[in-house]
Amino acid sequence: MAFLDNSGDIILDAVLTDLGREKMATGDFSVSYFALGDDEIDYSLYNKNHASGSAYYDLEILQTPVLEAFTGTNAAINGGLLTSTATDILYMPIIKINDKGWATSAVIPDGYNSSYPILYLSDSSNDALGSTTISGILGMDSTTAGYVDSVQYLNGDDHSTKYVLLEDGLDTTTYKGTAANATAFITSNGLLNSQYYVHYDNRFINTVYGASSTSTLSMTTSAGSISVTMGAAATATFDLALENYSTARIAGAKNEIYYSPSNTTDDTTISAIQGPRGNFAAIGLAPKSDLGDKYSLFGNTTTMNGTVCEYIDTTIFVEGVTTGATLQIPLRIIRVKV
Amino acid sequence: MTQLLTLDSDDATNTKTLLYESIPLTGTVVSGTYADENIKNYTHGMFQSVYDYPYLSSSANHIFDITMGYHADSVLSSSTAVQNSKKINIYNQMSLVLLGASGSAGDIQPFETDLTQDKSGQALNGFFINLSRLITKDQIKKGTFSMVLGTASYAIPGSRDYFKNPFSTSGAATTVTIQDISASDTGGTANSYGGDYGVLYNTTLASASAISSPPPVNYSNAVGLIFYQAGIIFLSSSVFTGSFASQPLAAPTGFRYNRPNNSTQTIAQTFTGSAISGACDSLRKRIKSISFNNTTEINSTIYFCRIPHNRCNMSSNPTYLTGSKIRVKSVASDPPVAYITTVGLYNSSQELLAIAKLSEPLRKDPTNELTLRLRLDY
Repeated sequence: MAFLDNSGDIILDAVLTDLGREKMATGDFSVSYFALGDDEIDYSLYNKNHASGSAYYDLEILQTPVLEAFTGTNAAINGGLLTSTATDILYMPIIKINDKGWATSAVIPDGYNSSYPILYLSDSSNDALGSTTISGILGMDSTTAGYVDSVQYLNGDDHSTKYVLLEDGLDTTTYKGTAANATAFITSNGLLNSQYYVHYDNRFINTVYGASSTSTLSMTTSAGSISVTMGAAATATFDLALENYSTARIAGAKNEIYYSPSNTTDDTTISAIQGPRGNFAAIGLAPKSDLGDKYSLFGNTTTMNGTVCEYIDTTIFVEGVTTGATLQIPLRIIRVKV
Repeated sequence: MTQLLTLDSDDATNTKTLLYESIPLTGTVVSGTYADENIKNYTHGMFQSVYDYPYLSSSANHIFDITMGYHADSVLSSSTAVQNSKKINIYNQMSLVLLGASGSAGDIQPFETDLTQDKSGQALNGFFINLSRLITKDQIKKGTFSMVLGTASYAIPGSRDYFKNPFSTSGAATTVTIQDISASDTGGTANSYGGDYGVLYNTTLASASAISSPPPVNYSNAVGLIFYQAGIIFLSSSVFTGSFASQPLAAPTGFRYNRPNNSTQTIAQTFTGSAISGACDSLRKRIKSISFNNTTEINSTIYFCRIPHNRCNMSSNPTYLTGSKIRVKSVASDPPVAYITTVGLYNSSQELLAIAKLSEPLRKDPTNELTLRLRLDY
């Protein structure tokens, strides 16, 4: 008679985070929730074709070394385990930037399909002091040898006509992007992100703007159509455990780009999502007005089209409130250097 | 988004665990190995500190202090005595901290080598060994203290054996073992301002029946007190008086305690005629060993993180999907699988307060249900 497996009960030693110690010192230490993380796991190591059978599928994953707990900045669980009411799903939504280029207000990060995309955000704070404006530099057509064509950028002063268009859905060709499939595979499975968190560095970003939930994104038989009303996003209480990061919450609106055999233009030339689509969102950003010396403290300089500019690189994170799907967008705040 | 699961009040419990460590201190560290470079004397001359390494090194750890003193009513107290007021001050300070003042006048209570403050067994002169919290931790475990002292005298100046080595076996037995043998966690101690204390016995000479636990015991072999929480040893000077076999001591006839400047001093002469540091030196060089178990009290809260079979079977890990397809599935009917490496504890504002890591990834799928016990120690 073999022993019973008693491995279901495990004792772990927990360590306090910096915030935990602070709460302990102020007498505010009270635990209400727990969450599970799997940041060390690379699921691409899951080998469903292992010759030795299913018991070996996760052999490499189970051998993954786990890091010690650290307690300082970014001690948080980045991804984390989820609960889905539907366990018989094969696909989950992801968030993508619409890079199709038909919507003139939808900014595509420079080099979006390369390994090093950068989303530019113009800071006009030095425009009046120089001979040219940052918009003029970023939007310049290359008529001079050595100059490059304009890059798309978010306008720090105009968030209503310059935004990043985000879509979420099942990025697969297995299922067509029909309304019925969207309902069956996304909405019915509880995978619709009605809101999104935007995590941003509050030292550099002043305001996050988002599209209202009544905004529309759709297509006719041949072309896309978008109508977005931008407004300042609501702040959200969210502990990303990244120092200096704050969180805004923007609304999602129904993505009504659908596949139809009668379309003369394929829906995938309008939408970045190949399969059924959930919601969409738009993000505009305004930099802090007093970045001033932060350019020298945190940034660097570069010459763009003959003008010396200074910039700060940072990152914004977009996260689906329901599904936890995330998108990381490298951001470059740039202005003319005087 | 990290999905939070609720912890109910039933999902946490508090425990207290006592950890014990054995602390052996050898006499060669206390005197000898470092040629007293690990002994720190102060200009105020009130006590001396003993380190486990030359104290000028940052590697040195403070292990205990030694000092001595006497009650103002002691026959040794005299205006002509060296550092008379400081010796009285030391005794008074220790008495006030460990025993408290007595009566409406707030009189200094004499130490007594028994468990009652009844004016019997008074010890008006003595040494104090103040063990560092580094080694005693929360308290000394009752009944584990043992100290071996060399008691050979300096009776024959110039005699190398006696002069250099208080543990000399030339002559009578010259070490005594001092233990709190009647004390235990369940009895044999008394309580005072300084916490629990027990009696130290010279167990080399005492018969087992005389010091059997629990009380009543025969205090004739008592030579001091040990304060467990304070980590302070009070050693009556009587341990060094008298003669072998007639008193609870191993000192030969004509015993001399100290030998300053090529002269000899009895213990009484040392208390009056030597500075505190000199008297402490002589005690320190007689310490052959000290050993005890310390106690660390660990208060823990254990959180039971219960993960039902139908929760946390998927992941928002960026590698969980390829495109939008779940990597760990071939067909939709395959059960979802995720692997746990980390558990975070959050407050009601969803702020991360504590974090724990597993030693290896733990598989979670709809066929298993887990309870992870997270222990947070204070």
